[in-house]
Amino acid sequence: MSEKLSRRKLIGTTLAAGVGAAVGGTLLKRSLMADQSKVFVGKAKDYSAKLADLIQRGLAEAGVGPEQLRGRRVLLKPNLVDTNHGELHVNTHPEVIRAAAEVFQKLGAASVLVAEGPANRRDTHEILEATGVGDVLREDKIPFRDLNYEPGPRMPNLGGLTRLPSLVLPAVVSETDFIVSLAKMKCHHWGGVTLSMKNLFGMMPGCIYGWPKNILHHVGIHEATVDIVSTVKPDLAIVDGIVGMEGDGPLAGDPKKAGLLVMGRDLRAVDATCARIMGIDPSRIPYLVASPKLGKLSEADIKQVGEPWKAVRTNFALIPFPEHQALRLSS
Amino acid sequence: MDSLLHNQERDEALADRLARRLGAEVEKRWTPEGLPPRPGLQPRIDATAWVVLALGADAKPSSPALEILGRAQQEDGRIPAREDTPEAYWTTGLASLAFGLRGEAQRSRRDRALDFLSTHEGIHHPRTEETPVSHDTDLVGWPWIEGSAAWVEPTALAHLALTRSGRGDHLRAVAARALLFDRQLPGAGWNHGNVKVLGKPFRSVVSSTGLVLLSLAGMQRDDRINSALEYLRSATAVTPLSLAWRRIGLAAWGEPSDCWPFYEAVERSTSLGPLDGAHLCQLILALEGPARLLGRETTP
Repeated sequence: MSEKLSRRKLIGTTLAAGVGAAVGGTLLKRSLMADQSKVFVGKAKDYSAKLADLIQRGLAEAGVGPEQLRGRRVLLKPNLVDTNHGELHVNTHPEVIRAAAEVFQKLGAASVLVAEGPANRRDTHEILEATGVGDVLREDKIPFRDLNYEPGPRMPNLGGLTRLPSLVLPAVVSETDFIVSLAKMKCHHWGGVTLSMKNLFGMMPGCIYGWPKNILHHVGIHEATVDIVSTVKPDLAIVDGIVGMEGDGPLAGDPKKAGLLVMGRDLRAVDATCARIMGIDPSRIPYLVASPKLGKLSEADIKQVGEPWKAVRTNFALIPFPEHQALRLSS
Repeated sequence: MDSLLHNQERDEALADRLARRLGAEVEKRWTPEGLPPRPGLQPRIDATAWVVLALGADAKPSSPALEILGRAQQEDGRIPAREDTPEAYWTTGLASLAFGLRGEAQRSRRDRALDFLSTHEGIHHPRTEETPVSHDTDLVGWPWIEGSAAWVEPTALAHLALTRSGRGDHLRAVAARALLFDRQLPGAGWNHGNVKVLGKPFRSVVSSTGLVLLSLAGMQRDDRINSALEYLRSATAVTPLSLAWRRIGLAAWGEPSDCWPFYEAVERSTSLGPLDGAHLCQLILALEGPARLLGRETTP
């Protein structure tokens, strides 16, 4: 976490967000003629539900089927951040990872691997073992790559919002051709929320950016999020909101059961929908406002399928600072 | 008593056998450009430095490893993680330790690296009422990458490099110790460097605690060290890296630990893919003991 942050700067300034929203709104109007982004919201009462069926249905709704996946090398990037044994709200659940891998294999992917680079621990395997993800990977023979230790080439920063001219991505990005952000639905004490876009901080190799990846906070957490997503170019988001985290996320918050998986090819639209479900106004989340080129934000531009977000909205508690309370979506 | 001795001998034999197996793996993976994280990938500078630290300066790959580190050294003395990423200079402390193991022959490179470390620091600033973290943000240490704050692990590595070279009284070494103790979790060990954020306490991590205890070895043992050692003794460690750093941290303060859990841990981890090259080296160092990194350097 950046030490330059103060409580007043936790989310970023509302004024900046407002200006960005206006600009983003104009750009979005221009692109209304384009295909609308589809976001699927599906109910799962717990982790014993038929998650593979749900994911397959969600992918079909989002326009991802055998034609899109046959022969593709799929990288699943979960959100594995800490070793909380038996706690359901901290990491992407192993059963979601298992189900996603099963679906991609079934739909004809040439290969499926799981890859992660946690920000706070050099020992990634500690998290794999404590969370049960390691057991799932072994049982289902899914290969794992530690993104913290396998840096690839330096790529031009395609987002251009931070002062970083280029980004070192992990080598595995060039060895795969379908990247899935398999994120967790959480509040975040610096970013407001952490969903499919912020999850990609874990793509950045720790052996270059450190533990935690503090430089990415120093250059602006929201700007860095947009830069990383723009450069990594993920293909799909699946957000595990079966049990999410409210309050002081991404590590120290409380469990919040939303009972949902949210999916789509447009990560911005997926995150905006998740935010609405969490009772958070996406137009007040600076990284969502600052990323008009990455997808849709406004409700009118997002074609939602499955459960309507309003029907499944469940307000996630926000930490009791004015900056966070101001994120609440009005009814 | 006989049985205890027998078990200890068996444990040491196990350690020796596993260290040799891992050493053979390191030699097999070795390339003329250094040690890669796994076969087929680009070698890493930190992994290449770990080869020297784990196998010793006289081991077969160590001479070419030192030359690779020497070639990577930049004009200002830093040895960055990659040539095209000079800002990621946390590897300078590691490389300096590796140079130090070769004594006089690498003295100039080591001194240039230490001079660089003595003149570079992480971002720091006075605490304000609104600072969301509990630690003292004005203490001086080293970052992983230029333009960011100081964190526990790069600070521990740079501190170890300074003290090993006889610069333990240097102002920056003194400052580093202040930072490390400020970042210690109450009555426990260390993590990446956060004690509390927004009032919520963070937990200790075995690998971070082992590294800091290695870095601080040689100073007066006190309650802070004792509580960290107690944390390491009682912490759950089931992965190769956490077992390695628990053993290194304890050994740095003269305490033994078993080697037999390493076997199962290595098997479990490798069933998910090959171990990282640097991690292989850290395992070897743990199994053989960190003696070569303790105390001040001696000229061979």
